[in-house]
Amino acid sequence: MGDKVIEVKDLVKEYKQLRAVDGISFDVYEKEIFGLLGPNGSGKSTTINSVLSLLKYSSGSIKLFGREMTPDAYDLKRDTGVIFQDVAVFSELTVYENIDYFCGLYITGKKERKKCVEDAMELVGIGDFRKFYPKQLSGGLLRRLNIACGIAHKPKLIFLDEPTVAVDPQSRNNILEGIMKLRDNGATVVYTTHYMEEVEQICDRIVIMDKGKIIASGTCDELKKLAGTEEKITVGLKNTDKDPTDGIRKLLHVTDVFKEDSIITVSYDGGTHNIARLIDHLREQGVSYSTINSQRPTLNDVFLELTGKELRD
Amino acid sequence: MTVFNAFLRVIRRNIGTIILYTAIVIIFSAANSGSNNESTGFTAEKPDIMVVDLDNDSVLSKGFTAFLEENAVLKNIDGGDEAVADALFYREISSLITIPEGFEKDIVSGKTPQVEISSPGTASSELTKMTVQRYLRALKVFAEKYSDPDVIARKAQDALAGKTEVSMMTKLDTASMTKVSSYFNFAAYSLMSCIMFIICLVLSSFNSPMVHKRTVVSSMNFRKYNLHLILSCLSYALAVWVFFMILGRIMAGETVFTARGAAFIINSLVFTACVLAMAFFFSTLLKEKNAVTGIINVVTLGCSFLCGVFVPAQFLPSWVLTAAHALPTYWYVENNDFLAQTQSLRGDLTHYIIDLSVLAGFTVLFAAAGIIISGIKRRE
Ligand SMILES: Nc1ncnc2c1ncn2[C@@H]1O[C@H](COP(=O)(O)OP(=O)(O)O)[C@@H](O)[C@H]1O
Ligand SMILES: [Mg+2]
Repeated sequence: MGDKVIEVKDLVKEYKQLRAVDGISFDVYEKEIFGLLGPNGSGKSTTINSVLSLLKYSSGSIKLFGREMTPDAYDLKRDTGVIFQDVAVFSELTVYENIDYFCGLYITGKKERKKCVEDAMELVGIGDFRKFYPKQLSGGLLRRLNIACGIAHKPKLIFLDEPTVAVDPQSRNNILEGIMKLRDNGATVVYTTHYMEEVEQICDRIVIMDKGKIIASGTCDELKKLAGTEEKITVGLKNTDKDPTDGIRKLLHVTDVFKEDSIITVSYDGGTHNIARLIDHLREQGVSYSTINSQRPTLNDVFLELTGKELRD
Repeated sequence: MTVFNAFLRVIRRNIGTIILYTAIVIIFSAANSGSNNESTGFTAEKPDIMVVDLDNDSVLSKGFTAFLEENAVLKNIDGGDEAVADALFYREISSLITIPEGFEKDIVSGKTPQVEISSPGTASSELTKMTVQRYLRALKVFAEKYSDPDVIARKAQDALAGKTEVSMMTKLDTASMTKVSSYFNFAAYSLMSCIMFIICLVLSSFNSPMVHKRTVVSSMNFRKYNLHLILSCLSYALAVWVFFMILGRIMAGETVFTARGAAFIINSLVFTACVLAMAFFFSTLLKEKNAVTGIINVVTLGCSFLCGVFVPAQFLPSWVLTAAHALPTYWYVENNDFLAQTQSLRGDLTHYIIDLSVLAGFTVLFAAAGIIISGIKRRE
């Protein structure tokens, strides 16, 4: 792992009644995509806004690039880019002019800026729309413009707060690929979302938040171990004359068998070729089935295991 | 420059609004100056008047009569009071001027004699009244310096005929002053609209919560950013003002660039500052573009109608004018009307200064309110 880019220690943010962030600590390392995963209201935005000095937090310490982050730490801000959940652009300016304006808040040199704006448009694939006004763009393109405005000045550290909410699948893939490109170009990315698939797809390390607390952290594979299962196989029976559950329970690596109507769910704690072994067993027993599915655990299972509730809202 | 450039670009997108309000002021003041020319036509004709001299043909009363003869056609109606009343009624004469007994004695001793003017209130009789007052004032001025009635009469005669260097009062070209003042009055509406609409719309873009957030996280020093924004607003308002002054020269003629014109121009500059402060104040309250369009329309139209921008103040009910004292536009329009009428600006400078000070007071008030409100909002 590279150098620490962000160090957060014991961060607490209290609103009048509510502890929105309740004593969390985490580090983000150079050139990784760091995922902040949690359901709505778990405190992700509050955390990001505190790190950015947009919010006055109650206690704790925040360091960026090894230095304390404050509202007037303009040199730290120079190396930081932020993309918020809501689109923030001027409706009176064109795509090009918008990117140019927000880039101009960081870079005053005209020539340098022009190149930056062109690069940003290319990265998010919005070059064909440079003369369009925001009103003329589809929702997905608008999000891409929003991202281009946040990263045009080539920041070393990029925060994205739920950039894919209510975005069509094609634009979403475009955005996720863009984020990976940014990382590959050497940027460090902090990415918050409540979509676990996205985190699994792009994040190098993940922190899972719930009710203002960090409930788990690690790489995707490390987290999945916490789910308690390695594999889940569901079998749809053709008829329910015979109950094969007792036989299945004795198979290798099986931790749990659960039957509801004609559906049997089998959980494993490891092993390979589990599905082949199960098919053999069912044939031997003369049990006929219509469907059979194998599932690796998801972060949703991890969340379910740790909190007793679903991550999805 | 980044902020200023974006500011200009956003304005450019709203250029239609500016054109609209410019067109309104052009149309209004063009229509108005057309009707003005008509009403100044009568000045060429000399009114018919009758003079009764009860001061027994004293030097001064004779001089007075001679002066009146130059400016009017003297008629004599025989047949007593009744015949004179009939003559007035049938407009055979437009006024009857009675020079009282002791006229000369009063003038020489510094008193103001009561010269009676009976008239049916026609336009030409108003002119006669003004002529009489001009002469009386001239007599008074020279009576302070000289005591010989002959000298007083001659000096007054010379001064009013424009033969001497002594200039006692600015000769007021009423017609062109009315033209100037009505242009400046209409300009109030256009200044308010162009400045308040555009600045509120532009600031609502810059201050929208998300754009604001993005600005705060950027490496642009936030104070510098605010300063740039303020300077942008200031230069825009100034540009609008200069534009309407140039337009005023075109619409209202050369009088705009005279000493008295300068008084109008200064008045409008102070008013522009006040409008800018109002724009800032409303921009702290109005975040939504739709709200801007609605509220600013109400404010500009309301101020214009209540304060005599469209309808001359003398035609408004008095309670409206009383209420309008609470609006800055009233003081601006009032000052324009004053400038159009006063014979001697130098003598009445206090009036002018007071109106300007009230406008300046409103400017400070609105700016302070805006600063307080935006401070409260930031703390939230
Ligand atoms: N300005 C605020 N005042 C009071 N409570 C707030 C405020 N902003 C957020 N909260 C509360 O803080 C909690 C965390 O919110 P947030 O950080 O936005 O969650 P997330 O981004 O994970 O959806 C929520 O319960 C939310 O209602
Ligand atoms: Mg959020």
